[in-house]
Amino acid sequence: MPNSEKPGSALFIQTIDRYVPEVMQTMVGLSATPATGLANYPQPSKLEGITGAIGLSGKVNGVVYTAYSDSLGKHVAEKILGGSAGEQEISDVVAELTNMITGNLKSCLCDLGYNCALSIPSVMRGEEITVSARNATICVGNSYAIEGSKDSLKVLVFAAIEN
Amino acid sequence: MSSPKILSVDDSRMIHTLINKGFTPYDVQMVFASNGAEGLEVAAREKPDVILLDVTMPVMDGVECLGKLKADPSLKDIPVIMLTAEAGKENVLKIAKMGVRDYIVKPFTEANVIERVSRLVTLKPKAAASPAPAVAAAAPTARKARIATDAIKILVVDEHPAIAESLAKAVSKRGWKVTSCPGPAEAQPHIASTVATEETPDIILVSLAFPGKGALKFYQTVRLNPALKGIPLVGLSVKTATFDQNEAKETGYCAIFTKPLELDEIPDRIARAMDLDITPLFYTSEGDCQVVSIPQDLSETGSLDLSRQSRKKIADFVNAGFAKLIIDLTGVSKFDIPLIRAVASIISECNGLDIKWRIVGDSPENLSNLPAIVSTNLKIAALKELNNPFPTTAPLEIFADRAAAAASF
Repeated sequence: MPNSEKPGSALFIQTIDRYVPEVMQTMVGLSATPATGLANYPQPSKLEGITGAIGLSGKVNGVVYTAYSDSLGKHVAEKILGGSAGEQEISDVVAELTNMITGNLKSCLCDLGYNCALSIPSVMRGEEITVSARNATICVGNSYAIEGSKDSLKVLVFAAIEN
Repeated sequence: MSSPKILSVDDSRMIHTLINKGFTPYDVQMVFASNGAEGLEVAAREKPDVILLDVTMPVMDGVECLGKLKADPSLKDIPVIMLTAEAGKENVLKIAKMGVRDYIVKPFTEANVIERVSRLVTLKPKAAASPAPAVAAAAPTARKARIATDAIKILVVDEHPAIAESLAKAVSKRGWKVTSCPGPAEAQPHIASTVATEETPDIILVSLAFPGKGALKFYQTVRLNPALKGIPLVGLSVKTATFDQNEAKETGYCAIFTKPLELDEIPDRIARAMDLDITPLFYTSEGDCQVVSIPQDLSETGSLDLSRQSRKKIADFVNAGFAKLIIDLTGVSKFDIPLIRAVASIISECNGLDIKWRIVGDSPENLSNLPAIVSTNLKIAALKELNNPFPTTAPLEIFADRAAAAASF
């Protein structure tokens, strides 16, 4: 049974602000410092480079995006794998890190009574990836300064909560 | 004996790479599969000793794969550790009921995976495995997890014989054995003579007061021997010698026990330094019930570690098909902080996992007030992390003996 209080934008921001640094520090050994999260992230939004995406379906429907520049994706993948990383390795790392962030977000939502299932991660590459979600009531995002990179990691969550 | 075989089932090559890297120093055979269906095939073919299983995967997910593993008589006994980012209470409970042995939440460290696997199989360092099997057998780098009911061997290196004597007395009720040496010069040949024998110490307690940084040099000498690499070293020091204590910690001493030693706490502090599972001291099975017996003299360290370790222990009950727990407080007449913490946290864990519980005791008039006592003590710093497991402060029913408690379920 869902709790009486619906998860709001603040909870989504707090959750990604907790798990993005934890995942980056534990798995990659790099600090990820959050900027100030946006509770009304503009959409459609344009992303570029490598973007991991995982869908949530159930009492929460939506998508979590994690967007890396090409150089940030390479930096993170090579740090985690301990050697040079090609396109496929980078995609695999982006997919798995997205899975870890989204899995932990899902766990928080489930513990609040908002059960949902995760899709298999997908990875997109491109100069202009446009993301939006027409029915989303939660449109949040934040940027994370990653140690050793001039580029930031962007994490966006677009979701609708079932009544 | 052949090296243990570990099957990793995950759709991420990154996870395979990290796990493979983590186990590289150990004499193990790694096999991999990229989804549940492939995992079943590889498990049937390779008969691994442990399976690390992801949840979200294409073709066949980890939950379906686990169900099929447990339904196959030839595979059902292989211990499975789930490795997943999905750690919601409901998910954990669902998977725990399917018979999973352990659960590692992503993100994880390589050390965490190795530690969990080493609870199930003995991991020997690769370098030591073939040329010197005897040394490898003695190397406690990642051997099967020890428990507090094992015959633990403690070496005390201290210039004052009274310290070793009082430590021996404090640990005697656990059946642990203390040997002593008056200084590093005597301790080094003693330890060398025990390598690859049954007498290798499991933990070494060293006075930090030896001149010429004797304790630090001793630490380095012990660590140079690969067969002794995993033995925890604890510093013994007077409270005021903070410089020595900090220096020892920086060198690698895993804990410092200050003198005068709090002898009531010592067995549990040693258990903590060794990362021993203390639950076998408290938990037993009785028919279709599990029983946890908690004594009045539970130490503060024992209370904290029992509360922490009970989480896994109680989740293991679910895996083993138990759904009833008797909390035996015979001999307990008053609740002090360690007891409140242990009992309330165990009840809280049972509530979360739908395990029914009953309390047995011979001071029912005092014990029945536990909900009121918890409620009034929750603001105390030592209990601030405690979840109150009681919805009201109404008195509890206390059963006179275990049989009466078991009959009431």
